[in-house]
This record gives sequence, C-alpha cells and structure tokens, in this order.
Amino acid sequence: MNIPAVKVENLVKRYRELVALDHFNLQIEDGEIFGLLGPNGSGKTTTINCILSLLTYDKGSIEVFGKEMHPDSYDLKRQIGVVLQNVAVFDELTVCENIDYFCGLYIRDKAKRKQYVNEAIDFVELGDFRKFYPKKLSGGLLRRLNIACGIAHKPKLIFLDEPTVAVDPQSRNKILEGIQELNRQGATIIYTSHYMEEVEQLCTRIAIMDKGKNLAIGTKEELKQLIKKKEIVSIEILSIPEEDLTAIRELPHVYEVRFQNHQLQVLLNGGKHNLIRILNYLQSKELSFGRVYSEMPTLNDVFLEITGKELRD
Amino acid sequence: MMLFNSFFKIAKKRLPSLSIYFFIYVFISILLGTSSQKNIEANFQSKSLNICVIDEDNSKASAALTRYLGSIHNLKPLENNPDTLQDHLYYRDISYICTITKGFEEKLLSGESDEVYTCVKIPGSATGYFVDLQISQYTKLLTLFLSGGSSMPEAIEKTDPIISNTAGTESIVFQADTDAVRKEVFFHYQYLPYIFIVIFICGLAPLVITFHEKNIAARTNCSSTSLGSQNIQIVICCILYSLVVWLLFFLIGVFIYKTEMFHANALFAMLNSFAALLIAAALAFFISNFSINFNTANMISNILGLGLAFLCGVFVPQDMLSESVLKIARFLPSYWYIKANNMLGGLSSEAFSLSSFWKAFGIQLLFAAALVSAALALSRLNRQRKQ
Repeated sequence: MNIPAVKVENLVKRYRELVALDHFNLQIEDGEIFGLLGPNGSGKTTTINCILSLLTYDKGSIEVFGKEMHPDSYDLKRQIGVVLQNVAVFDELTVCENIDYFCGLYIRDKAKRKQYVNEAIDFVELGDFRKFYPKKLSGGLLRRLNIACGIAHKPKLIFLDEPTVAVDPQSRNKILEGIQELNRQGATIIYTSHYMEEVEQLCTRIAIMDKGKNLAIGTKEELKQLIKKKEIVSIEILSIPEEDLTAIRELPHVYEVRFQNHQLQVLLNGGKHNLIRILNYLQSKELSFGRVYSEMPTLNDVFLEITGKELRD
Repeated sequence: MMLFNSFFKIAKKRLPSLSIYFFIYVFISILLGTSSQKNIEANFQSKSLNICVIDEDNSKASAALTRYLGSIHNLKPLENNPDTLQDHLYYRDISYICTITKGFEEKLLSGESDEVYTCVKIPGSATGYFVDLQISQYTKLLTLFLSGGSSMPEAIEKTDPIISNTAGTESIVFQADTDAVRKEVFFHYQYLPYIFIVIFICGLAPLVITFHEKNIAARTNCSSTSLGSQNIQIVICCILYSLVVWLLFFLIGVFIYKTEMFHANALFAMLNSFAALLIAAALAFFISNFSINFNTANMISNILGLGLAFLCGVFVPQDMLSESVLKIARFLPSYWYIKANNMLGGLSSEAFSLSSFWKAFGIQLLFAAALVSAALALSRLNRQRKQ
C-alpha cells in the first residue's frame, strides 16, 4: 500500500471564536497534482500553514510521507518546497543569490547547491537574468523567481499557493508547463488557485472546501458527476412560442429551459443524444435556428453548485 | 550558514548609504572634539584670572582670603553694585565675583567652611570651578587650624605658606598635561551614544527586519534549517556587526590620537563605549521586532538619538543642564555614559573614582539587559500572535 504524501485527519483550527478548520480531512497521494479550491476565507491557506507547521492547531493530526508533522520535523521539511502567494525574495540579492540562499537552507554542500541553483534557473528560464535584482524583473519573471526559490532543492512535495496571480499569459503557460514537468519528475504538487481553468488543466484530483470543511473531493470527472447539470445546449433562435418551451421542458433529461435575447438554453441532467432530440423537435415545429452549441459543465459550475458562490466571493 | 552569509551580503549592499551616516558622524565628532579642546586650552592657559572680591565681612579672615586670591589672580576693584558687576562679567572684564558675606570669620571660627561666601561666575566656565576650588581649599585649611586650637591670626599665618605651595602645584598640574591623554580623546568618545544609536537603528535593525519579514520568515521556517540555528546565526551576525562598528570607531581613534587611545583612562573610556554599544545594539534588537522600513528606522533613530543626546549631556555639558533635566536623565542610559566619560576625561567638575565608574558602567549594562529582555518578550509575543 502506498504511503500518502499528506494525510490530514479531523483538523480543527480556531482563531478565538472563529472556527477556521472544522474537522477537516484530506488525503493526498504520492505523485498527484492536487488542487485545493475554495472562496476567500474558506481555510485553504490555514490548511497549508498547518501542514507546514507554520500554524499550531487545536485538534487533529497531520502526516507527511507517513510521519507526523511537527515544527521540528526537519527531515520532512527537507522534502518540502513552498511557493507562497506573496513573492518572498530579498530585494538586495540577485536572482542567482536569492535562489542560492533558499536552496542553501536545505542543501549544505556548496558544489551540489551550485548545480541545483543552475538547474532551477534553467527550469524557470531565468538564465538571462541571473545578475538581475528582483526590482528589475517583470511580474511574470518575479513569479518565476519565486517558484525557483521554492523548488531549487528538488523537493518531493511542493506547495504552490496561487503562483500565477498577476502574471501575463505567456509566463502563466510557462509556469503551468513547469509544474507539470516537476510532477513528471516525481514531485507531488498541492496547488491552490483562483483560476478554475488552471486547476482543471493541471490537477489530477481536486478538493473543494468552504467554511473550513471539505465539501467534495475527487477527479474533475467525479466532481462533475456530483452536480445536477451535465450538459447545456444553447441555440440561437429568433422567437419561440411558450407552448414549445413547455414541450422542450418535457423532453427526457431536460430540467430547465431559458429563453433570453434570442438565445435558447436547455439544461440537462444526463442522457445521450440530447442535442439531436432538441433539434429534431425544433425542425418538426418548423422553427428556424442559427448557431448551436453543446457544453459540458465546467469546474466553475461544480464549484458554484456545491458552495453556492463564485470562487472570488 | 546561509543566513549568516546573506546577512553580510545584504549589509555590504547597504553599506554605501550607511557609510555616509558613519563618516558624517565621525567627522562631526572629530570637529566638535577639536573645537571644544581649543576652548579648554585657552581657559586653562590663563593662570591669572581677572576676578573681583567684595569683602562685606571686613575681618582678618576675609582680608587673608582676599590677599590669597590676589596672590594668584588679578583683583579688579569694582563698586558693589549688582548691575555694574553683572555688566563686567557679561563683557568678560572679569571672570569671577566672590562676595565674602558678613559673618564669614564667625562661621569659620565655629567650624563651618561650607557656604561661607557667594560667587558669580561665567556659566559653564571651568576656570570658575578652579577658583571655587582654591577658595574651598583655603577656607578648609583655615578651619582645620582653627579646630586644632589656633587663633585666627595663627591659623592665617600657618595657612598662607601651605596654600601658596598648593596653589602653585595646582596650576602646574593643569599646565603639565602634556604627559596625560588629551581631552579630544574623550570628545571622540563623547558623541558615541548618538552615533551608535543611529548606526544601529538605521543599519542593524532594518537588516534583522529583512529576515523577519513575514513571507521570507515563513519560507525560512518551512525549511530544514532549525529555528535555533536561524536565531544563532542572526545573533552572531548582530554581535559581529557590533564589534566591527566598535573596532572601526576605535581604529579611527587610534589613527587620529595614536598611543593616547591606549592610556589607562582612554581604555576605561573604551570600555565605557562598549556599554553604549550594547545599549544601541539592544535598542536595535528591540526595534527589529516591529515591521518598519528604513525611513521609519531613520526617524526613530533621530528621535531617540537626539533626544537622549540632548537630555543626557552628549551635546551640552551635563554641568550646564538644569537639575530637573538631570533628574529625568538619570533614568536614561546615555546620562551614565556621559557621566563616566566626563569623569575619565576631566570634562566635568566630578573627580574620577573607580567606584563611580563601575557604578555608571553597571547601570548601563542593566539598561542593556532590560532592553534585551523586553525585546525577547516582544519577540515571543509576536511569535505567539502569528500562531
């Protein structure tokens, strides 16, 4: 049986009267890219800080690679890399010196460290900026430096907390490709982001949390199965009589029909050949229509249905 | 030792801005020291002062004292009118006015030697204290013979030859100062409390704060470098930083004053400066618990540095400060530093005594210990609050 990379059981963290984590459970398998989703104040950062022993907690247990995690579990900390949401680098040190400093907190051997630093610089493609000070770097390059500082020591478990905030699309793609590459090299990744599409693109499993509780956990397909909405059919149509809308509502698997701004939206909760069935009905009633789309639910739909709010709420 | 290496790497990069402060303060310190020295030399070179003696007692004793003062100084006969006397003092026609009050001889006969005369002198003038000392010696000697059973004429007869010898010796002591350490050496140390506070709060505190910055500290605490090791490295850095500053200051002194810096009193002054160094370092350590930037540190250093300097007699001699200011200053470390330095360099009327020095030194160490304790408590409180 594989030892999970992280195992959190019944974690309770209180800030005086506020319960930040309420009997929170989580298990992250070795080699996963695990996404932690939740609106602001849902307890994502508190969870990460508790796992990293940056915060004390009131109840529960945390294991990393099968060993209980404590503030002085330095053998475990050696295997962990952290990329915080806020860029944490020294303004007075160059790109190379910054990476060397944070790598040096784990690796004492100078020659090995030099090799690791060079590899990290190549990995985030900052070779041309080695002697640059952080203030001279663009937002995207700074984020890449932040990542390099967190991964230079080749950790087995990497926490990435919103690593692509305020980053241009080109840098974002490079960062996402880099994360996938780190995972291919064997690192387990715990990823939090406000960008659903990133989580959907990257993560093998996702947990949705709110108010300190784990609301749902699974692969994106498993999560999509949890919600009612399975398919949305959108059709451009000039006008449609009310009796036809009622008739469409009676078709199999249809649970909601909307008509607004010449746009007919049919929400379905499963089944096959739904689009053909709807189009056949429209043709039978000689209702002319324009463009037709069929969309599967996104992670955003899952999140909205489970938490009842947008991710940025 | 990543923290250690990076600490000095960052310190090195901040050196240009900090060295400007350092050299300005060193320059000012030397400049002030030199100018003060010139004043003192001028004052002590004039062995004979222009003084005025108002004899209200008209007794044998008062006549003897007047005669004695006349043998050392130039007596200026002036009308006993406060306005006239003040005018002459103001325009420096005279340096000292001694009024031998009525009942002078009677008081001496009854064994009193204190408060037997009144005097007016130029504020802050060391020569005034010199005359005070001469009068005090004369009256005390006279009282001594009177208490031994001599009559007033006999006591005067016995006192005169002794006091004239002593007076001669005193003046030689003041002038034969070439063997001893120059006063500039002590002026070199005089301004250190201010300089140290600025250099430590503007230099050391922001450096420590850089490593305590929330995100950097979080990332460092996630690493496999233990908290103990981090703290030890930072403490070693602070100690080394302090020693380098101290040594630099001492070497500048050696460069200017050569072997005089190794004179016994100068070495005591150096030891005294070590206490000031500890206080400044402890103050910086305390301030480093607050997340402040360089500009705020600069502001704090100026408020603290200048405040302590003016209250405790760094820029203005303690003898010139009012009693109420001195009462407050006694609760501040720089007061004890300056008191000790003044004693060592003869910059005040207080004679040097080893016990007084150790007392002042010990009080400074207690201040440093109190600041370190407060800083540690605050640091612990901050850590708890974060968790």
